[in-house]
Amino acid sequence: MDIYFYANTYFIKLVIATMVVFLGSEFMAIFPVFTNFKKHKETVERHIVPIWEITGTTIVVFVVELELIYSSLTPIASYLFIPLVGTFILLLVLRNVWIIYAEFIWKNKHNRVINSENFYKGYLIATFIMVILFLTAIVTLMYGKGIHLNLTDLSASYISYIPMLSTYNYWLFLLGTLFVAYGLSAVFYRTMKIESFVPLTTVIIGLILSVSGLYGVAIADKVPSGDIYLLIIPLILTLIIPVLYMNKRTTNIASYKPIFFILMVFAVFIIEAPVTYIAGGAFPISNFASANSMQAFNLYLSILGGIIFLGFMIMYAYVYANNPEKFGMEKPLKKETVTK
Amino acid sequence: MVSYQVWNASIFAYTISSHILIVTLTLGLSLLILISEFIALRYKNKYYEALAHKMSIALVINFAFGTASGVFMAVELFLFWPEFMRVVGDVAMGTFYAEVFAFLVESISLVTYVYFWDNFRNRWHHWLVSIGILLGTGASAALIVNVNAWMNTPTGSFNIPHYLETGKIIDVNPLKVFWEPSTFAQQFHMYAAEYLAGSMMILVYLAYKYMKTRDIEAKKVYMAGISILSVISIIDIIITGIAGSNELTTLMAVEPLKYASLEQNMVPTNYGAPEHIFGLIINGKEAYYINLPLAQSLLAYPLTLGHGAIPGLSSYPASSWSPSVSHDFLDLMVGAGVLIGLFWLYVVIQYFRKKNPMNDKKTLWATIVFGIIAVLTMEDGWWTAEVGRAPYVIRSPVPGGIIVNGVKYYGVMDISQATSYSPYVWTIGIAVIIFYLIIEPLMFYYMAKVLNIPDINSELNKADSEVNEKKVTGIKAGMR
Repeated sequence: MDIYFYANTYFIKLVIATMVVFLGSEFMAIFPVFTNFKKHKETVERHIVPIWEITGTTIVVFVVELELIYSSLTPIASYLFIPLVGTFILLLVLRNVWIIYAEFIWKNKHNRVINSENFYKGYLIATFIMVILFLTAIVTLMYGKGIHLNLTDLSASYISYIPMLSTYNYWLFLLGTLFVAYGLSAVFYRTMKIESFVPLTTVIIGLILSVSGLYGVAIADKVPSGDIYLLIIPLILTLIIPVLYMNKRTTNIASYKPIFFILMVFAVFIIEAPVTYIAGGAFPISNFASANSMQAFNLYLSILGGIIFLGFMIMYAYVYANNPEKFGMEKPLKKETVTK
Repeated sequence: MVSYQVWNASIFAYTISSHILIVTLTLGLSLLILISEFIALRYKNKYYEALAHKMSIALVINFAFGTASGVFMAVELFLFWPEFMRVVGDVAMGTFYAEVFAFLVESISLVTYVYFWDNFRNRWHHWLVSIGILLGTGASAALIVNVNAWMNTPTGSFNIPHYLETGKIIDVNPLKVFWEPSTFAQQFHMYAAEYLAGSMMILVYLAYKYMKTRDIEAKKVYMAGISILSVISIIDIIITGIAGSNELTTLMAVEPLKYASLEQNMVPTNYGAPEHIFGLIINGKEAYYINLPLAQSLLAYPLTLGHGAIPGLSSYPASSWSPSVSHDFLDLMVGAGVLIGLFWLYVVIQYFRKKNPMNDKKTLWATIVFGIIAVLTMEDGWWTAEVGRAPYVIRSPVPGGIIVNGVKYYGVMDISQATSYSPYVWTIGIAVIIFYLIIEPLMFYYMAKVLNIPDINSELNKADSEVNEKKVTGIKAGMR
């Protein structure tokens, strides 16, 4: 394989990291919305409403990019993960429908069932399950537990989820991720006072759990042990956020969305970077690569498209920041407005 | 018992037919918004401003459903057509990838346009964002049609003789998929037909609302939309006619087999080919058609008074012919197109007679009827194109068929080779049927609800202050 393929493998990992962080930022909204909707509605809406369409688009980018770089992997993955993919798509539809309903609901604003609050909650539950499914699929694909893959006869291939679900590494990773998400959510959506130790504590607990789980998965997937120590970088990057939040002078920086996004994209990217095998180390991912000419084409188009994307995102950020009253850096929470 | 091929092909035809409604509406709305806001700013007209704003919300709703439907369709492609997607992945995925960036341009522009409406100090900058929406939506459609053009005339994108011999793909040229012999004709026809159908689809709604509402101010908003869309439709029906004619001429040169099937020409001729309206092929012979002598030759070669080669089915084995219903689809499309053209001709004549036709109730009802016909005709056009390619999914790169090791191939891949034989397709197919049966009526219903203007005065006050740069504060961006 040539340089184009290697460059593309890192590019798709960047795409995945972007998608995960966009989706994750919505996923985290479940905590403030379910604890006190009325209080946090505006803060959550301010972030989610202009972002959910872009999140959906990053999912599409990921699917197409995967097919372009690993053309023989996508049909296999679609086939193996039919129940997960099917549920994911269904939830994507529901998510889009519910957020649109929540946003533009036209009547019955005080109806006990059909109202904006319930649609937001429905949308967040759908997003929450989507993230869980995505994490499950990724861990399954890496860990290989329960995967029965027959490359010559796809119809004989299937996944049994029981071995996977009975693995403690999976649960450690999942539980850890939830803890991290809870802690970061408090910072991202500013739902806790800055003196609170809850965000930092939950992030630390979450990191201990998820890194332990991830370590087991990485070992099973033949990630070189030298590369596993790279996990220290995302660990530090994640910890920085609640630490900055606790300091009055840096609170604004911690929950400033662009900085949060950049730090987290980099953190997720570092986690993915050393992965070169799938199905518990059974198959090098390069086995599924597309032709060299396609790889070269993909790289050049990615650069071109990336520049266009960046240009439009700069425009977006400029317009976003153009109304300080609505979309600028938020003021820190006062003590009396703190969620109990 | 329905075969895997028939089931998969039917489900996918159903999916595309459903998805294309959303695409058409998206294209129509993006053009309407651009023009409407331009008029609003240029002439400081609050009715056009209110229209642009309302329609942009409709576009967001459409986008939400469209994204979900698009992802659903992408996954369906992998599940129903694995071998086809393997070849696409190796050869033609570049255009899908480029489409993703067009999609990103569309989504970022749309989000900026709708949700940050009030954040622009210079409203012309806001209008510029609508160009991003138009370009993003237009480019998305074009890049998907590229794949279709490649399926029809796959020249030079990979080593086809080697693939036909060994099943392996070599010598890939990823750029070729962007420009095949049939690309221009297909793009031209697609754009013309989609913008026409999209505009007339929105006209159906606006004409109905215009007749239903009693509020004079609301009527003015709806009439603003009717005026823009009528002009687009009148210009576009002429362009569609030219594009359709160009498409058939191109087919005759680069896909003679498809042309012969669509025109139901049993034998090739050099002069005097008749036009057969409707009809079927039964046991290799035509039946139940209306004969128009000389018409086809005259239409194809008007400058030589009908002298010129017309392809015929007898030059090809019967197994390579597409189902004869494709010919009926073509006739239906052309016939309906002519009717729509006549309707708009009537409107133009009335306009020059100073009758103000779009204020007339009968004309508005006719607009609704022809709007529905236009959408059905657009669907029919796709059925014509797709059924006309059967039994192949990817056709031969050479118009008359390609010879490899002494065997002549009229297609690179047929439906039976491309399809999935997984038992999952039956249940997924049923899920697909249910999905679109629920999602599309829901989308149109919801859009109609959101597009209602319950408080026209506050809407127009806000619009007035926007176009006259007297900003009103305290109203949530994009949700006034």
